[in-house]
Amino acid sequence: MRIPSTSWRRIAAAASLATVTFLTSACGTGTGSNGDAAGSAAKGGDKPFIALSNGFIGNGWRQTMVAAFEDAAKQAQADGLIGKYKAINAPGDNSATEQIAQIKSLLLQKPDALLIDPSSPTALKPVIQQACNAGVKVVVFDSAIDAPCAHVIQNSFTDWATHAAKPLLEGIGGKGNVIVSRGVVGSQPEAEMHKTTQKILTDYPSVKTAATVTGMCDGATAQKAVLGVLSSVPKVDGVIGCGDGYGVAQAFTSAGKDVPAVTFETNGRALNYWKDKKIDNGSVAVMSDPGQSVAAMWAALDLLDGKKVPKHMTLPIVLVEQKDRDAWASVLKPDQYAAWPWTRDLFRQQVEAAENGGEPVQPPVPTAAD
Amino acid sequence: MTDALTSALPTRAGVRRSAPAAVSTIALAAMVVLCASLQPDVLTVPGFSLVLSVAVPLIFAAQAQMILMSIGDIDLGIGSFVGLVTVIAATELVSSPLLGTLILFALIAGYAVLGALIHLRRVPALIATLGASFVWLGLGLFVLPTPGGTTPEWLASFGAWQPTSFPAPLLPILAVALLVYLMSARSTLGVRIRALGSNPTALERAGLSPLSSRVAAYTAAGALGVLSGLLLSSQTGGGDVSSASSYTLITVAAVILGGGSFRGGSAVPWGVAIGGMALGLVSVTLSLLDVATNLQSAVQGGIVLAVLAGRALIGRVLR
Repeated sequence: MRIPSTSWRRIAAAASLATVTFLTSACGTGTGSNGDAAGSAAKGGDKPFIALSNGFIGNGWRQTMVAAFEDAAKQAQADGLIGKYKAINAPGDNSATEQIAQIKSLLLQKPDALLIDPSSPTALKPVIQQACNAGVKVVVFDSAIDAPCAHVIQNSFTDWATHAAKPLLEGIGGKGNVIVSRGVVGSQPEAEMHKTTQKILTDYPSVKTAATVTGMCDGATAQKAVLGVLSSVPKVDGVIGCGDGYGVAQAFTSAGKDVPAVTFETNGRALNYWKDKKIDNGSVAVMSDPGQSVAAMWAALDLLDGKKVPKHMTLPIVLVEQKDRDAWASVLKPDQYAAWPWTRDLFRQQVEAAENGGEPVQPPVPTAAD
Repeated sequence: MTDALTSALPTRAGVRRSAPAAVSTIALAAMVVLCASLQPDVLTVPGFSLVLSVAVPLIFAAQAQMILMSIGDIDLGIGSFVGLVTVIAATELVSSPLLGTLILFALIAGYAVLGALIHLRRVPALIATLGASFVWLGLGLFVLPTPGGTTPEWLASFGAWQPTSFPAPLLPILAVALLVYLMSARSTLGVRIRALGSNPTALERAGLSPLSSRVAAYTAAGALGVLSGLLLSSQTGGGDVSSASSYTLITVAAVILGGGSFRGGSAVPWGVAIGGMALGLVSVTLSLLDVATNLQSAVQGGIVLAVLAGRALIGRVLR
């Protein structure tokens, strides 16, 4: 999609660096310097300006999330729903201070709505309050933040852990040995997910936990951790993890063992591996939805229109079961993660379902024709 | 600031000392003009406050770094130290203000001990402060393993304070620069600290203890680090031991931009304030210019290098 144009865009950005260093006052809004993480257009009159602040850009999930927002925002701009959009990512390693600085410089540009994928559950509170005081609608997504004036859109970590464990345990016939690969131990979502996993495991008394490792929800880390315990455990039937199945499968392959049931990432690489190796043992792929950024945009537009949106909404997790696997695998690039294609109508239905206590809406699985 | 520049004008050495800061000042002014041409609101009081507020804790930490660099040492622990202070501010300072205050004083004392250790055992400051940075990090993780907590009411309300007549962040920036200026340039202690950096033998011949000078410098640096941490937590509303890890090297850059040097002997509080503001403004400028965020760190480094090159050039012309 954007890849071919990247290099000349960088050159353009480098040219704007020269502009700064030679201190020539470049007037006009950064012509030709629209970086690949920022897209803005001519002033759209009184149409809203939507800005996205992302705390960390260093993994494929976040890249997919930002790309999904930019695609949806570009479409919305073409449809005349929004006047202008902009996505900025804090440089560095998920640093809250960098993101605060970025949000402050965004506020200077007077967005109508601000979407935030926060880098910290607490540190952004004051700057969010500042944004609200300036009359900006704030929608926080991906992880919760305790800021009373912001709307929160989230996936349920309990759902994530449930979908990671249940189909896998059913797939191995409800008996055998499993390894539990935990996520970022010490974080609040991980605590919630681990509790859920433990609770589900008590429902399967014939399943024994052979080992517990810390995989950090990262394939490479999980690969090392699992490889470290493989020699000391009996035959393993399944590894319950959080989006680290590709690395875990590599660990088993390199140890010369059959790949057990694992929880794959929802990206193209893992799904294609799953498909090509014809793994058929109850493996699933489940992760949170990078399309939340798009849902957050619809929430912001609804708020700007004065429609009612719940303060806290839980959207469905992305669960790829074997029956949907090939459809997803055919539309995803290796480092692109499966995202629900939120449309304004779908989001509206979701809000109504949330308000009336109805069944949550399940967005459609993409078809290869897309 | 201006009187610091004009009073330094008469002597040639004075010109040479303040020239680097002048280069940074020009860069700062250029960035303000550029930002203002892209977004006129930068020049309003709330806009300018927004731009400057991020630089405030950084400038306090940079003053601490400047004091240690003026005695020829370098502090690789300041980032973790500031992070640890935010953690204390978000936990102990809320639950029992007295204990929290005592801990903060104990941390300053820790810096004094570190200074004494470096002097008596002749450990390179580079190694000692790097070691200390892991101690600060470990203590912070012990007190608050995951980011969180809330800052005391008075601190939060200071962070949210926004007078309409002038940009609030200017007040602490100018106050700390004045304070450090008075200490380093207008007191005997300051003379001794700078002498320790430029000519320790002379200091000893004069019958003054280099140990007490070094301990005093470290104590002052610790106190400024504590203030930096309190200001940072007033902006983040919580504690996070790794929130300021980038400060360690950015403060060094601010000191160098402000006219300091690794050799010691020079104290440049006003220059540091300008260098810190310039560094804070770079990311705002880049964001307004819509520079790709993946590229921002590189561009930021490029601008710093360009300013340093300008500084070196002027230094050669003046020599």
